[in-house]
Amino acid sequence: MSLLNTDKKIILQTRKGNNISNFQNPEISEFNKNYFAKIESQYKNAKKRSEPTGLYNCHGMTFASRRCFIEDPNEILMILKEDDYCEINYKDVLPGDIIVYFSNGDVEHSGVVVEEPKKPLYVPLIFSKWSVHSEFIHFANDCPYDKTNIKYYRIFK
Amino acid sequence: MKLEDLLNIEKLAEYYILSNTPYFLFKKFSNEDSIKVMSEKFTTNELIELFKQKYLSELKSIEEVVMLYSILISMIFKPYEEVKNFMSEVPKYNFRWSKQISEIFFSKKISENVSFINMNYKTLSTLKSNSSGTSDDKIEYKVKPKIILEEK
Repeated sequence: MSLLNTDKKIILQTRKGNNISNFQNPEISEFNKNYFAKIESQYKNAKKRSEPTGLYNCHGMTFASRRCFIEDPNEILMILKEDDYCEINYKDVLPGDIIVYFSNGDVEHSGVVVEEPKKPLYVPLIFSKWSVHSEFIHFANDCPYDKTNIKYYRIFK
Repeated sequence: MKLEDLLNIEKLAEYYILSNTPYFLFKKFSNEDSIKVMSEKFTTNELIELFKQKYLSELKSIEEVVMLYSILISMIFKPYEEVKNFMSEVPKYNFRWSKQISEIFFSKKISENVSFINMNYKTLSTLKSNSSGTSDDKIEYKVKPKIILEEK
């Protein structure tokens, strides 16, 4: 069952000093690799900017400098609060802001804005990591995650 | 009946790979038609047995892993009374997200079983003591309904 176990963790804390649960799973099964190309083919406008790795997921990329997987939505909510993130109106988004995809109580996905959104649709270009798959540069509405409840955040100080 | 023939393994494997959280996996698997079909093809006991067999087998491929999750999540379509004991034991199985999947199952079942009942509070109105008799001079208030519990 080693294929499924994920025991390795690192010490990770919010600004306020609370621990953030996480894990690292550096091994990607050879079997997964067959599916990576299939997923990429469905998002032809998304530009791949890294190789697949199980070391970190989207939230690990956005909130933990690519050091680990963070998968509990409550941990993300804690980070948003304890790291002093402020919600930004979608029209005011700037490069460096973060994007969070909410879905019925889950924090399904997150990423970083790289290009501010333009009128009239206000859909920014972002980069994000798709679980164990790679990091992609893509428009916020062009990814496999629920786009119905997207929010943007920024740390002001 | 082979599970490989029943399940949309390719799509499910993509969902598995793309799962940043256990909730995403649960949502995507439970919305996948082939999981529902599998739930219809097997009895609850058969699914439990299939799950145990798959868990004890050597999971050599992503397809095998996906089948394990598929069997487990297909049980959510079975009657609650039939699966609740098994689902409460799922965290004892040592695989990624076993605990979370069990928790999501029970949280969803609880929310499905909670009903919001219109208690028929009555809104009554009365005239203010110094009323001139117009509708503006009325005070509205709600009256609690009488609830009588009967023993069967």
